[in-house]
Amino acid sequence: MKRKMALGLMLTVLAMSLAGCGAKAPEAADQTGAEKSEELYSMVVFTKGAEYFNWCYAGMKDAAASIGSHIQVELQGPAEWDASLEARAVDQVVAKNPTGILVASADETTLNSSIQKALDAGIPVIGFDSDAADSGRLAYVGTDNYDFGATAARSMAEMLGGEGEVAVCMVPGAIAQEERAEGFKNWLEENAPGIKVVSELNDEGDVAKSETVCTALLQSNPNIKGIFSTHGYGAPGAAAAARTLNMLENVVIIGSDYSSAVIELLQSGDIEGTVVDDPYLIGYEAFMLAYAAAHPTEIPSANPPFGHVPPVIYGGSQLLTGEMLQDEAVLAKYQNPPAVN
Amino acid sequence: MNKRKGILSFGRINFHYLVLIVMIFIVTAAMTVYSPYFLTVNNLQVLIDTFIMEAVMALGMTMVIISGGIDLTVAGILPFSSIILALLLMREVPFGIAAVLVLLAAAAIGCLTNLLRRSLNLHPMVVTMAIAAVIKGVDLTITGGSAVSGLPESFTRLGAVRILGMPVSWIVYIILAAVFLYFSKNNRWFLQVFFVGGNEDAAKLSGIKVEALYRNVYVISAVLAAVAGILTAITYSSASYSYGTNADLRVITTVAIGGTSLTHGGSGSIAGTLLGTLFMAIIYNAFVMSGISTYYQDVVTGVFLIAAVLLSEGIKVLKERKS
Repeated sequence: MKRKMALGLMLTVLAMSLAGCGAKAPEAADQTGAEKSEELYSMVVFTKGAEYFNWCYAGMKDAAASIGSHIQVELQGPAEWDASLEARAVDQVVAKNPTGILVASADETTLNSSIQKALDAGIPVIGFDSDAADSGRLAYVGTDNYDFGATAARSMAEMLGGEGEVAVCMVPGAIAQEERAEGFKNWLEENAPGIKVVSELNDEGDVAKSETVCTALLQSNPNIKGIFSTHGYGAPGAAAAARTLNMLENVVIIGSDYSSAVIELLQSGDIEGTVVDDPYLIGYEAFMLAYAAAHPTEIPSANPPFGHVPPVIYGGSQLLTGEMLQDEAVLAKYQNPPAVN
Repeated sequence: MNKRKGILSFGRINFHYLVLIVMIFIVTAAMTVYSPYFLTVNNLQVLIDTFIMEAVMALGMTMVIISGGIDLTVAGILPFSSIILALLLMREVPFGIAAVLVLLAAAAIGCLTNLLRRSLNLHPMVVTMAIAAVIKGVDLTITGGSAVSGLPESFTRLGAVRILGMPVSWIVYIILAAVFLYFSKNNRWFLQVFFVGGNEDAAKLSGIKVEALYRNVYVISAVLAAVAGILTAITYSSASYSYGTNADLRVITTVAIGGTSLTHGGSGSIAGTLLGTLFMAIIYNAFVMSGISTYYQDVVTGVFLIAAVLLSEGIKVLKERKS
């Protein structure tokens, strides 16, 4: 009897999982678009479930829907930040022969051979967000971090009225952050010579460490009028330091990226602004490039047999301020990120 | 057929194995009907590649769990080995020497695990969790969080080597699996692991060197995790602290689904682990193939884990009643 129960249990579970299979099955071509054959595009990410990638996938879904109901999309990849697991996910996706693949690479090299295998199998691969530049991917859609830093510099210059000493909080050695810092410094040098970057602090990408180094900075140099952090944890740390020293009114703090903590500090006015890129647009554009690469036109292509695609598209970045968050629609967007099945 | 054992075994086939084989058959059949790409040479290769590192580590983990312990260090040793190997290769150490050094380092970690377990008299879960955390921290510190790449070409070429049409990782696994399968039935030491796991005190009284046996079990598990790390570096021509994240849980799940008992030592088998490995590899592949959200993957593997434990415990209860 127990044996039967155990077997029954196993089979029930299996039936449940298979029923799930059936429910999610893409509909057959003759039911949806009789004239167009089904196409499947796979987005492969690391840390699947991360809010940023959910935004990317939302953009991809909308882009696919704009082309027609014969386009299927799926989100694949490990929940862990594990480049080898992500490479395996790409291999598995290639085995089901999709029309195109969009990849955000967990690191710069591990996925190279898997991406190359996909291209060899005739599947166009577009990189987005985190690039694997040597993988052979046809194009990259992401954020220009130099421009990202310049956006912060422009806002800083406006808020300070073109005068004052400022500092940068960053993790030296992290390429994206180095680029942001360089963009920030160069823009100020060229366009707002009255503002001097007097200090570059290493806050190790940590809120508590950022608070410590910013407290030391503000105490030793009361002339500091602005702090720019190149990552998401620097601005909350700088704000905590300024609050402790009762200097919130005197210091303009501009951060990078957003989180619920940053949103609250923007609303309270402790942080003047944060520079954000647009993952939705990045996902949208990356899909469009994958579609273009899978559908060659008469335009000569740099990567035959794939259709022509530009090698790089940047999604742009902008300053998000507390004032902008007073708009209910804008706030709702940041408070209610898209859910992915 | 032996009538007395009839309720638990069909002829000489263990009932747990039979359930697994049937499940593997059902999932394979269902996926073949569902996707034209499932039963292709290409996908079957990918299916094996996808789970080969866990497969290697599951062999050692089976011995650890049969001995009554558990080893969470494997998820740290895998990336650690890939990183150390890569750094040695970049300093122009020949591959053979670098690989041996990496395996020795892993063996040392295995010894350390057992030393701490014994001297502090702590549960292996606590000790191995702590050591895994330390190793992961070291991995991050050495690499600064970025992947190690630009390895010598003589090494990166290994990733493309095919022997009888199979990549190096398959060959290594086939040899290891064959050795473990054979010895688990015929080798005196392997049989002692079952004995010690089942009843440590009785084993001590019968003159088995229990502490040396525990040490060897953890060394084997650590060395196999290092083998998996070396194979990962060969496969991806890179090394990163990110490799092997949560691999410990996947490996333990595989071993448990194969019928090795997590609740009491002394019961389990390498053959069961091989079936469990095949089952997990197929399930992981089926999820990507079917396009079902991989979020459900954890739910389903969790449910299967519970089912497998219930099944093996149920069989044990039935066996005890019979005898």
